[in-house]
Amino acid sequence: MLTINKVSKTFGGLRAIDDVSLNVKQGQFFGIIGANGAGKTTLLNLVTGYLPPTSGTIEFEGKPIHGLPPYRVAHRGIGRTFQITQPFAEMSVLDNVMTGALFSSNGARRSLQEARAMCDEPLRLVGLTAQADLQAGALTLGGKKKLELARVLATEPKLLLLDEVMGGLTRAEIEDLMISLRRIHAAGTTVVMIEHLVHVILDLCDHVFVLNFGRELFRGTPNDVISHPEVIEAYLGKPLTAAERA
Amino acid sequence: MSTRSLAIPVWAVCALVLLLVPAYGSPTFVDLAFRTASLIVLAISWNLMASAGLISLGHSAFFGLGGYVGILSANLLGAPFWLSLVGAVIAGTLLGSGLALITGRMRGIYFAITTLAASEGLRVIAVMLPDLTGGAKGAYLKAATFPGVLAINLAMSLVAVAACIIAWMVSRSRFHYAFRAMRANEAASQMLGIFPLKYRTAIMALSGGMASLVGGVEVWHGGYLDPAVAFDLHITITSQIAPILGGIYTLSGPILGAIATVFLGDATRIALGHLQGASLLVFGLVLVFCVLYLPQGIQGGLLRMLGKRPSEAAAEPKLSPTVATGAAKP
Ligand SMILES: Nc1ncnc2c1ncn2[C@@H]1O[C@H](COP(=O)(O)OP(=O)(O)OP(=O)(O)O)[C@@H](O)[C@H]1O
Ligand SMILES: [Mg+2]
Repeated sequence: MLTINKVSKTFGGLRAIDDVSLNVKQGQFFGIIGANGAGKTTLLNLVTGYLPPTSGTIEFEGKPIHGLPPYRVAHRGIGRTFQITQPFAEMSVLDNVMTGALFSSNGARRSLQEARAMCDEPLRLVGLTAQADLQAGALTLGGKKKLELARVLATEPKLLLLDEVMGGLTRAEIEDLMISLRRIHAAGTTVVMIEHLVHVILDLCDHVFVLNFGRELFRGTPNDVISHPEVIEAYLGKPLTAAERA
Repeated sequence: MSTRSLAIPVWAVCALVLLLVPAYGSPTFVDLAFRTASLIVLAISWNLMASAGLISLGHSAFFGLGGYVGILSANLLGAPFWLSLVGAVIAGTLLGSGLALITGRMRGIYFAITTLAASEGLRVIAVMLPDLTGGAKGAYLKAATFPGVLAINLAMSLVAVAACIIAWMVSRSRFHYAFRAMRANEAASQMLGIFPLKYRTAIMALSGGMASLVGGVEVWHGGYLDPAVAFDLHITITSQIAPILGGIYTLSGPILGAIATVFLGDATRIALGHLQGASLLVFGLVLVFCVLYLPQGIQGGLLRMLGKRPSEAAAEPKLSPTVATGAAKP
């Protein structure tokens, strides 16, 4: 579905992404992990058109998407949340989500009422129904993360790219959001998830890609990854205990 | 009756008054209504652009262009009143969309300076083409058929009412969502499928057409135009003072602000008429006062007096020209 082929990105002298190739298949729940500064967000910026790759190609559903501006990438069916939340602060939570429903590839044909009606489900899935009329800028960090997700869900993406959506959430909220993500995935959305919380990745993902200094360190199933010595050294620091795996 | 259900009849009465004054008002009132109507349109035009995060510092560019298209089409082509207005709207629309394409992704202060440069550039062109425009000496309108003072005054009232209706329609459309999203964060809005340039071009075309139409009507009203009148800094300033004073990003703000600005301008002229630039000084002070004490303008102040939360659109206004420069730092 998403094919990243020998992609590199340099910022001045820094090789933020160095010859990375990966392939996300339809229906996968794909995890990307890596230490701070490994290049995870940069990789999403390359896929979504916020940055042009220095070299390499990116294809979505068999068609190249590198070089497309972000709104066209979005129209192809790729949705993305931002690690640093980007709410439209002066708009209500509901209006933020409606914006997603109005301007997606199907959105042009929707009336305001139809778009409004589509927002209930995403708001419910992320648990923001009660805050729908609140100003987005007034939400807590956790609330803004949820809003990022609700807003992109309203665009009905085929491929959902999540950049640390769990950051800033409480334990209970994380549990709830994991249930929602599982449901979104079960409903047919392919998910690529960047996450620092290892137990979330282990729980949700069927495939994990480990990025280290912009390069591929390892890929495999969650269990392969956490028992791989290089990953332990570079990223986890020490082998996970049974409790941490759970 | 709630304030909301009262709003529509109140506005309808205001519109009716504005449309009746040209025919039945005393000369003072007719003049007052004309100037207020003119500023209402300019303020709505400026506010529309601002609502998409585009702060114009050159609204006189549209105004002046409309004026010149009006006078030149009448003098050189013998165009009647209404046709010269059509020409003014088309010219303003083209200038607006052209500026949108030229400024591309420019935001905040860079965008503002480009609009300022456009206005200055047009003024210089008008000065440098004396054969066409009369140069710095200006030109008088020599229309073959003069529509009459009543028609011109009425036209301005009609344009003002139309501008209010257009602004209201925009606020009830999908554009309202695109504009606010772009104003908040143009880069992030793209990930939801918004193509900013499309909406920028649309709003600048609309806004430019409106402001040029005012210039077109004004030249028939005044009967004279020179580059200093057409591209007057005063137009640029009052076009933005009015919405900021009334309540930026809101529907009623530009209207309330235009009324207040005309009133302020007249009061200043009566009190300090002999002082050159006194009105600009007063506007400057009022602007500072607004930023400090009335950040949501008259509209926000009124709502607060009525014990209501200001509307969401007005709740967090940013008044600096660098509004929403925040590109997504993903
Ligand atoms: N626009 C940019 N210009 C210059 N350098 C950048 C830019 N974006 C990222 N970098 C650099 O690229 C490297 C990778 O950054 P990136 O944000 O992709 O890491 P990350 O894996 O997402 O980290 P984190 O876990 O902290 O979010 C970092 O060294 C960063 O400083
Ligand atoms: Mg990151």
